[in-house]
Amino acid sequence: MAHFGRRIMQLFSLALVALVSVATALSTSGSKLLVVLDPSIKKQDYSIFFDDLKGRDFDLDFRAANDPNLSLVSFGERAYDQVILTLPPTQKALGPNLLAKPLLEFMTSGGNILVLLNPTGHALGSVREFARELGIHLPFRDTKLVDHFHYDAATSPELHDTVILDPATDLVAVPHLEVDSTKKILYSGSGFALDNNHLLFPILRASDTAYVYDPAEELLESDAPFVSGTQAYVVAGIQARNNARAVIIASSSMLSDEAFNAADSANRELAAGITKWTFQETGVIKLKSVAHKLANTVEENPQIYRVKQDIIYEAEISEWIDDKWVPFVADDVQLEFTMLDPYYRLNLTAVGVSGDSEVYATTFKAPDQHGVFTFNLNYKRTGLSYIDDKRTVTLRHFGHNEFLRSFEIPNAYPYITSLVVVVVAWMLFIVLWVFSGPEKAPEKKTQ
Amino acid sequence: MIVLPLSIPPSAGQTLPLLRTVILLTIAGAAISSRLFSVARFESIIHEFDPWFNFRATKYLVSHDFYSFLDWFDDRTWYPLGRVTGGTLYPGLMVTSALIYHSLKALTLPVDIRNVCVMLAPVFSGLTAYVTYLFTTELKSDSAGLLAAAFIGIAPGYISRSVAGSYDNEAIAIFLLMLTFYLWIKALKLGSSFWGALTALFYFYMVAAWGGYVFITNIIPLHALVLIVMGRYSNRLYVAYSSWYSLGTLASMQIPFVGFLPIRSSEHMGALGVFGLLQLVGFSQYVRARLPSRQFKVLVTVATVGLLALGAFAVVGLTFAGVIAPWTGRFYSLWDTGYAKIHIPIIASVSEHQPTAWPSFFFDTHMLIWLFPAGVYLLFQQLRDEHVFVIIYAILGSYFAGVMVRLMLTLTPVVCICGAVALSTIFDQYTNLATPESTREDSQDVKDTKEEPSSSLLNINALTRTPVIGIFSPWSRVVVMGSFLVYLYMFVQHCTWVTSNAYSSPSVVLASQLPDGSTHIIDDFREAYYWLRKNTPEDAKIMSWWDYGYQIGGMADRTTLVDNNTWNNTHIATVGKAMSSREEVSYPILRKHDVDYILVIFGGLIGYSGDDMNKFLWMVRIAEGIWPDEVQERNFFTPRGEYRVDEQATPTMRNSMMYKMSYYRFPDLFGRQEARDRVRNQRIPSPVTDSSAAPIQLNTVQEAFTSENWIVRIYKVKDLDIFGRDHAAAMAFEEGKKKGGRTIRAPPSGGHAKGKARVLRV
Repeated sequence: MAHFGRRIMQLFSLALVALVSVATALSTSGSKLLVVLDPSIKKQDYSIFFDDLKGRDFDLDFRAANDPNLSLVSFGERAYDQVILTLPPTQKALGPNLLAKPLLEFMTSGGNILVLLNPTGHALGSVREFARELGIHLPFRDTKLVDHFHYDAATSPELHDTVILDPATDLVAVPHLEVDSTKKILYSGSGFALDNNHLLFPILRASDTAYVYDPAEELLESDAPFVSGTQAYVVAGIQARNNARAVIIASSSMLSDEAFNAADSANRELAAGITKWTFQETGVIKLKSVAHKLANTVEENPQIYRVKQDIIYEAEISEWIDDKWVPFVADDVQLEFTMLDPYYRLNLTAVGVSGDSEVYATTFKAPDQHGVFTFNLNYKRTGLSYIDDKRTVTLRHFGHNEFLRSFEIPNAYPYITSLVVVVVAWMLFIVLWVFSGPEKAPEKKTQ
Repeated sequence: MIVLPLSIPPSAGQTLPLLRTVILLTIAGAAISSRLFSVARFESIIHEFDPWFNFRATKYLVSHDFYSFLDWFDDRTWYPLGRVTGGTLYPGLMVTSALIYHSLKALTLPVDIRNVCVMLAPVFSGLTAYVTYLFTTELKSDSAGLLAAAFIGIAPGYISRSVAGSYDNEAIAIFLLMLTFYLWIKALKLGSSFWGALTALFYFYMVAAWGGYVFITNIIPLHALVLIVMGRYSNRLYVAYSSWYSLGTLASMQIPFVGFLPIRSSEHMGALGVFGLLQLVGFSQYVRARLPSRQFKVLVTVATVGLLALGAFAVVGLTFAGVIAPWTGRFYSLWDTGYAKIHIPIIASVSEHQPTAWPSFFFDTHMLIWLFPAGVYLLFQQLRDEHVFVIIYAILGSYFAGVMVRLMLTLTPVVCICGAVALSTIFDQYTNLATPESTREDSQDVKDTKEEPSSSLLNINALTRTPVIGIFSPWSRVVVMGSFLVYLYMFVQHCTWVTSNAYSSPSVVLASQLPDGSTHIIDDFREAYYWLRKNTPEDAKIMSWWDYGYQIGGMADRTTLVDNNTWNNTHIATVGKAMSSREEVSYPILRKHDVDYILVIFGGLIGYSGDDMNKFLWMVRIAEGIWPDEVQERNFFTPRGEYRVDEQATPTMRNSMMYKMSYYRFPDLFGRQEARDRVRNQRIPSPVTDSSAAPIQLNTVQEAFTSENWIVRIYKVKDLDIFGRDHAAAMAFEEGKKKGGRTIRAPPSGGHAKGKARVLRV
């Protein structure tokens, strides 16, 4: 009973902390962060990393993978907003809550996942499967990424398995992931390969001369390494269509205090950048509102327009910077006006700021084609949240009374004139016929 | 009431007005009540397919004003093209119902608009009977008119399109057709521009009501032309035709759907040509009367012929120049029954456009079909102007009825009229107790009314008719009269039986007989449509084959991609392609058209033969017409040319969306037994009975609803996978989970795996 009471208190305080932290959170998706910490990984070895996270108002909940109370979902809702997953160095199951399917479902419900592979390169089946569903092929166990040209002589004089990555060349451009290019990135672990999933994008890749192999087995000349050169990646991310993000780092050692404290190390900056992106602190934009209306009218979002009318389209977009929404400025936001195929693809121009968002607008003349059209605002840029907004409206044809009257068309004057002439001539003829006919033999023709 | 003409003295051209009124009212009552089988059996419900659109349009008209109906742009059909509905329908039917509805409301009679629509056809059939009476009376006599009215009232050929609930254009069009014909005959007889204008007025109504108005547009000019050629030009003809043509054409152009067709399409050129010819003939007659010179007459004839040739050349030239629209495919298919099948599969795919089978003539008109030629023969004997009209009508009607099943409808009235003429002649002859002399006098009377040119012909006819031997004995009278009474009795029996059994099914609700004889109602369609109405978002887009478009729009109130209007062949072909292709091919099509649900009709479980698998080849053919490289009909046939759905079905067939959606989970119903399709009577491959068969797997759609008897199956189109996988991969992942809990595919190892890892990003 006492235990139960304590549990309630714990829950209460958790909820309180959660409430407070939501108010001050730096992440747009929430501050409840679950760290699944493998016993093999000492918390104190990663104290800077975790302290940095705490400093960004995350509410860290350290759990072991085999914790029976660990669940990503409680009562059908996400129990956490973010997950950091570390892996054991040996073949051991992570438990039923961390299979590939619950992890994917967690992302489907909007959660973000950061996976730190074990420096040994060992990945459990469930994580391997999870990664493969995302399009990332994890290496075999005990493989190493080596580079005989760029290595840290201090820590790996022999094996060359602590490689030095150059932020200037090896870091693939991601918005808001800025690392001082004079520094270096220390890395020790394996590397993975990516497939063609187009939602996937690399963050950090190996240098030209690096390759992944198993040091325990002699690499024969005929054997190609698992992956080599710039096709080997050590950090890669995916943003699912619901904007949930996942990043896989091929070795947790990259985030250790040791790597952070090494001379000229850019690892800390990089780690901050990666976690900020993963946990929706940077690269987050949102469509605040969309409105379309007829030019010179006030009624917004009518269901029906007529062909050839002037339509104004407005969209407000905000970006999350630090801890608030600010106007998002870009020059490549486009609107498509589509019926099966785009009839228009228009650049939206930034016309001003409204509150915390930038207003993009355009005016165009509806095509001379009736049908059901879609305003399609499809803004997808690497590292930014997706904006995909579709609104259908009907373009109707001209009504029977919306055409020009004949007397308003100059070209019709000859026809109107001839009409009048015929009518007048006929009237004259009738008059002549009635009053000037011969008196006799009138029976013909009149019938 | 069939017996009643017996009691009328044959010599009496006039029946007592009261008796006549009572008889006509009885006929109307019989006509209406025999059409109520469907309401009595099922309920007051709109039938079939097209009526659902008419009903929906009527509801729109009743809830909006007329002008917004006229300008109606329907964004809930033909997504995303939409349909300019107000400008592409014949508004006569809807306006008629709306008028009835509003006038009943003005009389403070609150009637549901649905009941107005359901009862419209029966009520108008009563009016048709009356008009047919008037028409036939003009041809022969009151008693013939009453007989014709009785026939048309219950003839199955007409009932097939006018039972209660069959709310189609034909419901009022046959009434208008007969009325226009009657007025035309009247105008021609009287030479009155007033009656000509009345003809034009109802011609306009007919144009507003049914596309079959073209029949009138051509038969009246043909009649006029034949009269001119027969040398029967008269001022009466000139006045009647000119007033009808000019007023009627102007009026018909007021219907948005018709627009400029009367002066621009080939189908209407005949009427224009005859109008011009009449002016020429009238002019030449006028000149001839003034200047009776033989040379001048020749000159006029030559000029007439020359002008005609010139006019014909002008029409041909303008057609080639594109000013006059050439003949449409539907028109060609009237002359060449194979034309549509080759060139326009969409027309040929409609069962009612198929050539008529011989038995259906008897089925639809019973004994009238053999009285019909006799009636035509009798009309030849008198051959007044109006008889010429009926003869032309009979010839054209028989031909068109032979070409298309649905045109039995236009034949039926003339069959009834001619049958009535024949039968009433027989009754006149055999109930006439007078001596042969009176018969001779009778024919003499007819001769007197004849005009000059045909009198010699009549004499021959009169000669052949007069020498009758033994026919005046009471016994022969009794035998003939008795046998015809039996025929009439059988006719009524047959009509009632056909109406009750063949033409009174709403086709929305099916009825079947249980082994114990009781009726079992199969209501899958409404069940499914109601499911759609209640469980899908209001703007959900439903893809189905076009047959069900109107019903989905009417009953489920959801947006459809294609419907029975079939105005856009390419769009229908797109649906056909989506149905007949592999999932990977059709999914992008579904996405592009924003399809949310797919509805298929499957009769395999219960033996409903009108299902989509039986219509499937039409989908393939129509799609092949647009994409001959991607969809090929022969790939759906086995090498031996069979249409099979069992284990011998071709891979193309088995991978097509339609096949998969029809038979998805079908074998599960049969447990350990073999799964048998009861329509095609073939065994469906089932993993239970056949170890090599894999169950049908659907990746891009998921089953959302299947009705009680599996007639309607609805599938929801899946969204894109949120992790960017293709659906097959996502599905395999889900399935793998379901089966073994944790299936871990072996991590890539060895040379093979290295090859696999090579699929990399650049």
